Amino acid sequence: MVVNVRLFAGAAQIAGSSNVSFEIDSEISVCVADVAAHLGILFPMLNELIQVSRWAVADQFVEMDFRVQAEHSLAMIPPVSGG
Amino acid sequence: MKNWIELTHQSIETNRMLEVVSHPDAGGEILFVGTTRRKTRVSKEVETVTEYLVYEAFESMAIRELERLADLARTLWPLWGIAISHRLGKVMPQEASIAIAVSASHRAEAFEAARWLIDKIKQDVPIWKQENYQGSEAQWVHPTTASVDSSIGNAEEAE
Repeated sequence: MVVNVRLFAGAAQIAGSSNVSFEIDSEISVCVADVAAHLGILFPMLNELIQVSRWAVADQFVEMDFRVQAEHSLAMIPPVSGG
Repeated sequence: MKNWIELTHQSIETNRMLEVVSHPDAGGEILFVGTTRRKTRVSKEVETVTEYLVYEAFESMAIRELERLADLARTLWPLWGIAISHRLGKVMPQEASIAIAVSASHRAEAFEAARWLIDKIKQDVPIWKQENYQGSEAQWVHPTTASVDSSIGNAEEAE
């Protein structure tokens, strides 16, 4: 399964892109935690932020055990600093 | 009254927001304006000077979260109008980064709801600021739980 992840702010800066796609073995079911782990392998420099980030699917926060489907667009939400 | 919510690259029109929340049965309107602070003391010896901030949002989700928080505020207090505007892009010191206008029949609810909204927005809405300090490279601000309360950030936490 190809997973697409949107990155923002410091995470996008570290990855050098605001959108990354990668293949995950989907014979087993894939959850958000798997996607986060895979992202950390692809971009080791992101690991520190991954540890403190939340995730969103379809513009809503989801838990790390949320089951990812092929059509889902994921977003990694590093700690926010608006206001 | 419907919530009035925007993300904008233009200066925030706070007067317009007060008009939006105006209601004949309201007894109080609160306008909170969070502004970009120039100087932040980080320790006894060190003070940073912000040249400007750059705000970025995950826009579709930020709008949705702002709507959710405004709706949630309405379940906690009897409110008439809620208007929230957040700047995006480059914001200079002294300019408004965010404004929240709330009207209610009585002032206590309006004060409490406005305070609650800014606190929640700073926790949950996917908007980020990039600090551009004098004499230093741009840096995105991602406060961890430990530092959230210690006002290392900018904008409205100024005492």
